[in-house]
Amino acid sequence: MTVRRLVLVWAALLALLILTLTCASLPLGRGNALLSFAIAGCKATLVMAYVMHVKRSAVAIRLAALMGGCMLLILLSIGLADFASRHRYLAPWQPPDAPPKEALHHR
Amino acid sequence: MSTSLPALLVDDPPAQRLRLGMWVFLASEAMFFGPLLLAYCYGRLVLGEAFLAACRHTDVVLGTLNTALLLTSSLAMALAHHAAGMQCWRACRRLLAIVFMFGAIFITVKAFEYRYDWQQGLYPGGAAHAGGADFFYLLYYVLTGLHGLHLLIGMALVAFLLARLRSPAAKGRWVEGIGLYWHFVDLVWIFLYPMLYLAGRAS
Repeated sequence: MTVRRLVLVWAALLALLILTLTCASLPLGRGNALLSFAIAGCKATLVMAYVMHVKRSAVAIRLAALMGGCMLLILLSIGLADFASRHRYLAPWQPPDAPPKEALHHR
Repeated sequence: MSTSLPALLVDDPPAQRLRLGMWVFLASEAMFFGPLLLAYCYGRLVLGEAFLAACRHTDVVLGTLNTALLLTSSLAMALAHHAAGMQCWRACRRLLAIVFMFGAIFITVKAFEYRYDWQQGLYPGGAAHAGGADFFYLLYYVLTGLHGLHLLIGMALVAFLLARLRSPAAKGRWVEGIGLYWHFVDLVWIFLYPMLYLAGRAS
């Protein structure tokens, strides 16, 4: 039973791989990035839930797994919020009229 | 609940400690990859088209092949864990050998891909790239290199498991612990694949 489920999950993962590869060449603009990361999220969920047995694990294990993901998202959001606001709230070393994008191109 | 893990698998306190410890370690490993993910988001959002244009040059065929290899190796590892739970040590050993073999094939394919990339001038400061492309290739090598290092460590752990562990109870625990690490390496690649191989393919 477990073996059958594992093989089914593997087949689903390979199907998602083919799906994401096919979708990557469709002209969807910003949708391409959203779609490919959504599919990666589905694949990661399948791997964690069934292959790594999070679905059948104790609460402490689920919390540890959830904490990893949440901390990563929190730290990424804080970091990106900094970059997103740089052109409005300048860092002390930034010249007032050079947004970070320009500064990087002129390196 | 932990009591309904694969049939007959040892679920004594040492196994539970190892499982929880491994998960906490993997969460900290995710933080290890975090700054590189942030750098990638920065490149994608701020550098825009030059960054994506560089992404189109990575070898999507080899990338897809490697993704399929890793997904299949994870299946073999999960089956080895299951076999350990059923006390089928012969099957467990064979499956672990298959996992090791898939890891070795992945590394070989990656080595060929690096050589191909190098010949194409796809490295920071290589050919006539814009600033965004240099940044992309830097991230490409650091991310795939760090992932490859993790995979090599995983392969060494699998080899250790095959060669050294004799006591069945300890072996059952370690198949699970090392299995979790192996699946984590697979998880990282699941995200690296769209980041490094699929981005910018449509335009």
